[in-house]
Amino acid sequence: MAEKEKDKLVLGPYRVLDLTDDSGALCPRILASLGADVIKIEPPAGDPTRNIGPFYHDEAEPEKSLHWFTYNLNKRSITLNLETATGQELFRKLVKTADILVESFRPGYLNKLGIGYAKLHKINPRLVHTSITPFGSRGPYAGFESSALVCLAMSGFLNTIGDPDRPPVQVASPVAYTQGGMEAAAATMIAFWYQQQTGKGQHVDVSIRDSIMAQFVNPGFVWKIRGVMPSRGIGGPQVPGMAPNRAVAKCKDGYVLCHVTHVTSRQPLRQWLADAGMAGDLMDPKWDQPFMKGGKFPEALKAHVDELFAAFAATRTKEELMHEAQKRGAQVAREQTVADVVNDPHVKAREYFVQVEHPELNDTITYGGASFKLDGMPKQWRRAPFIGEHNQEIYGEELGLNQNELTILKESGVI
Amino acid sequence: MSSQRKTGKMALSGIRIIDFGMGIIEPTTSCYMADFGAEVIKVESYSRLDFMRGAEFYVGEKRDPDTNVAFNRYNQNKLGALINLKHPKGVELAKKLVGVADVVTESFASGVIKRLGLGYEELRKVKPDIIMLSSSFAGQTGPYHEFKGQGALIAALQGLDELTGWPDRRPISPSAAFCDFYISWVWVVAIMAALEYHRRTGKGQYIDGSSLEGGLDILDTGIADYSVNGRILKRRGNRHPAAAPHGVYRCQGEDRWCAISVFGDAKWRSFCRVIGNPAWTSGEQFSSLLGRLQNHDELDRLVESWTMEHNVEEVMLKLQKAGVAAGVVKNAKEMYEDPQLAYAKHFWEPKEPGMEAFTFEAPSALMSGTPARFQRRAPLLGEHNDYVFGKLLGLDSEEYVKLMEEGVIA
Repeated sequence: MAEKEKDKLVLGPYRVLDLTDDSGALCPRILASLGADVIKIEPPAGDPTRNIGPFYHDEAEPEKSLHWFTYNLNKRSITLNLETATGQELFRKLVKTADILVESFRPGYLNKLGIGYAKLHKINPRLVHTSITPFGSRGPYAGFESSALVCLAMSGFLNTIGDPDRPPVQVASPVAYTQGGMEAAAATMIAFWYQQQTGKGQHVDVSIRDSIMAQFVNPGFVWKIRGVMPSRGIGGPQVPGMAPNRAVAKCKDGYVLCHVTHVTSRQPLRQWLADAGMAGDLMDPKWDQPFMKGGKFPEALKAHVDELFAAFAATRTKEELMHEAQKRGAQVAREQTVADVVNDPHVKAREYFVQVEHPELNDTITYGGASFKLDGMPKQWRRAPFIGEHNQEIYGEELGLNQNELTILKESGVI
Repeated sequence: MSSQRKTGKMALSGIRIIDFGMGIIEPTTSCYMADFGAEVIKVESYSRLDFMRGAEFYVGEKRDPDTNVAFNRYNQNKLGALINLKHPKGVELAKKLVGVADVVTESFASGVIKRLGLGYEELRKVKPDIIMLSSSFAGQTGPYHEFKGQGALIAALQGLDELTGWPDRRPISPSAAFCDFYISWVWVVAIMAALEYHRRTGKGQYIDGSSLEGGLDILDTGIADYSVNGRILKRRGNRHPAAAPHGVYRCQGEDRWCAISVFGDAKWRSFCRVIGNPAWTSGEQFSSLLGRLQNHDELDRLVESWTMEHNVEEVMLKLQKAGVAAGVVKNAKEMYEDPQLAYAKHFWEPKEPGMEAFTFEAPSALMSGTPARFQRRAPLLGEHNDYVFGKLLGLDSEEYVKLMEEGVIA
């Protein structure tokens, strides 16, 4: 890209070295969506995250992983064996050219190779070095093995999700990694700002567990103030003595969520059921207090409303229920599947999705785009790179290695 | 054009944010930036308090707007000033404040700030390079732009609930409201990106934040999988497509659970050693990952026959010692006793009297050079009026008193 074009992008002039696995992948993806020159560094045999499914047309090959495709849009790829001395030498050269490094190795791994934060900081004092790990780089849990599920469990969040008669239950997508990756992106941008002001780099140490712990904040308050322990429920954390606030009801074509006890939406919900002739005894003045005066909503009443609402919802589609609720000031939303989201008229109208050409597959694939729009974001997105696709560009043209040297590096397993 | 600004000890020293937001998403956005040193001025009025001041989470018997625990958590490190935006002079005063700011954030329902006379086009007239973020349910444009609702509704629309729970049961709506405690960081990225763009180009901009889109990264590879393979990612209990055993297992005691994730055959063998290699572990059906995935129900029962005999902490530590991913499903009490959080000084515990009941938390991101700092609890109503109207805007005492009497600073 011409220099001038690059300068028009938010992070156009800046380089990011990406050494993350799936636990940190969202952070560099976001930096790439802001126009940064993100170089993904893969082991010579290809990055392990290329083995994460699902796969394009279910063909389980490293060049067809939809995980790889999704998280490496707009990046370039080089191969490099960091466990060899020559590889480390090349890596140090790259670090000198970089503004930001994002990695998610086990704590201590880079130190052992002699390319940890302290060493890299000496080579390039401007470098913002972001580590994304399950529990942080230091401390009693730093060496723990983890997974997205284990991070959820240790965050206090998992304990509040699920049916009381079954174990606590996760979200099918790795939300802990999403949340950790997003906080890492926010913190990296803050450290980058400081770098631009002062020329000083630093280590940004992000713990995934601590990030997803943000979801625990309300149960934490309840425990701290009242000394009662919230437990799991299907509508968020359940507090003894407080009516659960939500219901999930089956309707004609799926499910809807209803915020039953929301204080200004109770009466519209009651009136709505009454207008449909399905309010049972709810219009009895004895219920005026909780519905109209914002009074305490007894648990038994909540269960009663849930039942009436379920019977009512079964007669409508989720679309009808959501739009009518908005008109009436009640709180009902479609429970959308991934397919519903992709086809959602609003999300489409706001051009959230990006269509990315994959000429080699003779196909165009739809991905989620950026979560916000800014002046200075690239309009066209590029497909994820092949293994070492940019070795020539970066090692050859930029670092000035000749063909002979590249061949030797290749044969000796460095690149 | 690039602007030089005064820098200080903290990462965001020198940045001033005017915060008209309420609730959780927008206040926690500017709060995160305040934790790293931005000067955030929260604007409220007696006629329009941040409703979080009245939230369920209050100390003692009385709902006091100044001692609400949730409000204090979401607005720690900010300053507070009072401006009545329904008064024409209040709008003028707010504009003056915007004139000395870098960033404005707001979370009124879509379109409201414009009707108040403080829309982006108006603010640009005062400060041509202002950066403004609006955070609303679904954004300022599109078919749902007038939608209103709690965060739980947004999570439903984002597809989170359909991904949560058991395949044989209805979706589950997790968290108090998932997006409420996630999207702040998305907005921080957007604001920081806009600040960097401004630093290099001198241009401000308007960010039309939609919480609905703000949280769609949770769909992970679901969008591409649907687009390419027509497959719809669904809730799947505690299973993982490429690890087994993978689940949440009952341990000794009342409602105690341990999460366990076993990736690959080597970890499986380590797992078997930890549980003492009982005869069933050498069963042919469990010898490969594929076999373990296909016989996961049976595997879960057998794993649980071991975990149920042990204390949850012991299950975690024994497995961790052997390099197998395992974690206690921690409850609220245990979070406050967590040794790693104590090590990271995650909970800020200021020593001043009256602070004990509050929960102040540090960002998860620990910065080596410019760490986040606790500087003050959330502002009392109008606590920093003198600084804001006197020092920043230079009102003399006569004007100041007049505006108070007229119900503008109120």
